[in-house]
Amino acid sequence: MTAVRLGTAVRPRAAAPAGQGGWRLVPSLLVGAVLVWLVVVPLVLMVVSSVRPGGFPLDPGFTLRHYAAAYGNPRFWSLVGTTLAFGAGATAVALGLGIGLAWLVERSDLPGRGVLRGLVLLPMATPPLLLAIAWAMLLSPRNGAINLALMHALDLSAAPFDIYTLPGLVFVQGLALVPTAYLFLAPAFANMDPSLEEAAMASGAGTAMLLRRVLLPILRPAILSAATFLLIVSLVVFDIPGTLGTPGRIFVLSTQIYYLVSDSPTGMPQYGEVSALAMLFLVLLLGLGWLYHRLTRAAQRFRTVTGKAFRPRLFPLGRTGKAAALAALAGYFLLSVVAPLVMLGWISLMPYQTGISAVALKLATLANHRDFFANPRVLHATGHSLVVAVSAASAVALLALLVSWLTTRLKLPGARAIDALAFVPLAIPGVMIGVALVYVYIALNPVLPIYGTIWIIAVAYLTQYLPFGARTLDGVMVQIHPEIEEAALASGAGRGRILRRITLPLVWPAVAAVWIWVLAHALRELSSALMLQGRDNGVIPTLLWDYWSGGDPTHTAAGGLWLTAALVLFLALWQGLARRAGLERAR
Amino acid sequence: MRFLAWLGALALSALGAAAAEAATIDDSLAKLAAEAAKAGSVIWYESSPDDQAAKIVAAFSKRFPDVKLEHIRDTGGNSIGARIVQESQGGARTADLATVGNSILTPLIERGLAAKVDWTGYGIAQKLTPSPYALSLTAVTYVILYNTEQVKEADAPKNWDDLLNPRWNGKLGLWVRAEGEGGLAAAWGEDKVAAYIKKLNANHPVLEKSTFPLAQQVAAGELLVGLGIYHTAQPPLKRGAPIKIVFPNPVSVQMLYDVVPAQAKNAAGGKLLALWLATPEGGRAYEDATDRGNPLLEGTKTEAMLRGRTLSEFPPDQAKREAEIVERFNKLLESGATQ
Repeated sequence: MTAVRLGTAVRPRAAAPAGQGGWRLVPSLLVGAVLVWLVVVPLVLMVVSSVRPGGFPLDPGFTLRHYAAAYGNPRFWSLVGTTLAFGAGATAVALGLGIGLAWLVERSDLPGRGVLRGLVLLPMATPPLLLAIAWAMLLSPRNGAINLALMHALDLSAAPFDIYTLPGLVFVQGLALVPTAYLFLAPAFANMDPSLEEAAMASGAGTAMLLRRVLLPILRPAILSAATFLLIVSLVVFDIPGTLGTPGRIFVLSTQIYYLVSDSPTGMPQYGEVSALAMLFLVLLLGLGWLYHRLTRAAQRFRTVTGKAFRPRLFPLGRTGKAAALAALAGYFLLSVVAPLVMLGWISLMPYQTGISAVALKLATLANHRDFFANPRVLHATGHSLVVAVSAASAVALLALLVSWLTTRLKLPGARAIDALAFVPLAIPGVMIGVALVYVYIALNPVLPIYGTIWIIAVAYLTQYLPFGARTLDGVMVQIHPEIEEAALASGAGRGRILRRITLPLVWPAVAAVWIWVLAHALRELSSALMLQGRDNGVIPTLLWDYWSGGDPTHTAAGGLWLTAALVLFLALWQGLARRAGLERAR
Repeated sequence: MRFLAWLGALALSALGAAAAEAATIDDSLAKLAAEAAKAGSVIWYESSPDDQAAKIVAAFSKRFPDVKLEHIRDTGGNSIGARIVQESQGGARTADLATVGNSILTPLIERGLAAKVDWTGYGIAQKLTPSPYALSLTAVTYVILYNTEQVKEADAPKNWDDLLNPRWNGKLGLWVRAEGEGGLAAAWGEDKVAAYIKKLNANHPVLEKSTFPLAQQVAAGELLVGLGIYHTAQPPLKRGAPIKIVFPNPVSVQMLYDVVPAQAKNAAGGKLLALWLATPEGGRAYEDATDRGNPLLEGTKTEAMLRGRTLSEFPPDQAKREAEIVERFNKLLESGATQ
């Protein structure tokens, strides 16, 4: 375990001086320039798009009619209400489960923590579209496998569950977001100094007081980061509400955005109205960002790190507690991984989509899997996907580290602006990032010919996933007291050396978590890859989409299962490397 | 006897005209192929999955070995038009040919991004080219689907009104986009179809975000009947799923057209491909690969299948009217309104 110690509470200190002279601005300017390129350019094009009569940023003219159309739509407030209910519900499910799982895995004495970590993160490997399809086949009120089994077993006249309802949507979306919540929270749980808890308990604090006065304040930045992020993500995601909401006429803002982009009968994507709607997300995001800063600024007085080594105290659960915890984990694993994957496995063995039955079992075949591997495009797309995912993951991890370091450790001029910029892409719909990138890289084609290549997809992912990286590392970085760095600075170490020798080792688990999260999401992300598809930049998600949109869910399921298997391999590798790194550091 | 002689003369004349048309098209194809080969590859934006497109590309390459055809699958919806707009505005290489529906064709024409082509001058029959910007390639054909394991043939819906039967309450699937119902308005009129959709809503239809999953849901027995699209029902049908297709009367169709973008780099290549696809050889190659053919092109299965049926469709010059109607119907479907 990283040698970090959370010591006693101290008052906030003045920000550590970053140095003297004009050079102080150089890191801010460099990182700022990168962010302007990645974030401000798409943002400006989105704003411009929202006031162009034709909706394309390079169209002539000026209008405000897109705002009138977006916000004057009689359905608008009903969409907002449903979207907020859906987003808040999914966030609550993901956050609740994420906190519980993070505590169990990181702070309790459950055995096999490495394996448990992998199991918690495994749902991240399933593309949300496939997850939605699997749950539709499990909990459809008409012939969902679980419903039919329960009706048969309990002699019920009606299906007990209906996945095509708001609670159904919240349940599936919440489950899909649990790994993200966990990755936000786990490093913060792992970095909690037991001495604080011991001191509180020695002073007679009960569990409630310990939770309220010690644990929650320490965890507040990470929990708020996670909540903000999950809420915004829940408001903009489309796959699950689009697939499960449409049959039951549950429409959210992302469904409306999809309609405006893809299905508008006008024949052109209504980018103007989409951009106008996205302003709502932007305002919401900035508001949440402001709230986050206010709340975490107060929490900094509980930030307590010294150079003394510690190991987080593991709470003994006892035999009964362990059994209950393992049962809860098994339940989570069953719902989030086993049930949907079994359903996907079943679909992948069928010649066409059909429910589980003894009759259908006779149709089972491995042909879909054989076809998948016989398809020459699979190898090609796999290579592309790996290059894109590894590049995007590494770039996000590096840039997020720099952003977080600049904004929370160095407190350089412009730090707040940089922090806000790193969070803004979350509010820009992926499709608008795609629109901006198309224009930018068409214009730059003579000097930087990446339009139509895999690299434009990597740039899109870098922009899209930067908010996760920056917020995750922020939540961890803010926990580390600057006095270690100050001590190093006083001992003559330079800023770069401090970052390399002190800060980076302390936040390394979170950096690794960011890397694996971005990798997993980049391997399955579809909308940007589709938008930026060229002659020879197909990736695995576009290949799966090719199957799916061609009416072939069985090949999609087969491919999705192998994608999941590949991600499991990555997760195992990541866990293995993390364990090895931990052991070496301990030595 | 004199009548027979007259008939014979007429037949010979018709054959002669057909031969002359074929000769003209062949000449045009040869000239365009020579021109296209010098201009580099031909880029085609179209929505068929890559595996299907590969078959069309192979047939084209066999016929025109000196012309390289590259298919870029666009995901349907509105993205093909958007891509052409953005690439044209940015001065980048765009498609040499794009296959689009009425709704995309119209804004491309309005933006000056579609090239006028005298297709009849290349030997194409007038009926295939309703606008100088468009050459018919294929049609989206709306059909009724039902699950044969759960619905007896005698009980199956045969026509539009049969979908209103309360028997299908909660077991009827519709595409969330009322494109098929929109096409029907060309024959029935807008208000009659609007009233029809309200009656459909009383049957609590299950809305699907695409007709592909709709067909799969009917195959899986999740839905008993559905209003789908002929070619999107083919994947489960070909794999032995228990579904059957019924053509209602009139048949709602939406034509898809080949358009040469104004800024095409290899316009000759784009025209060559469009022209070839409008020949029985190219039309069949397209239909065999994609299961959607040209109802206006003799020699295709689709033409034979729809021959004698009433087709309900909006021509390109009524695209805006069609868009307004579809928008209205979309809202009706989404609201579930019955009054």
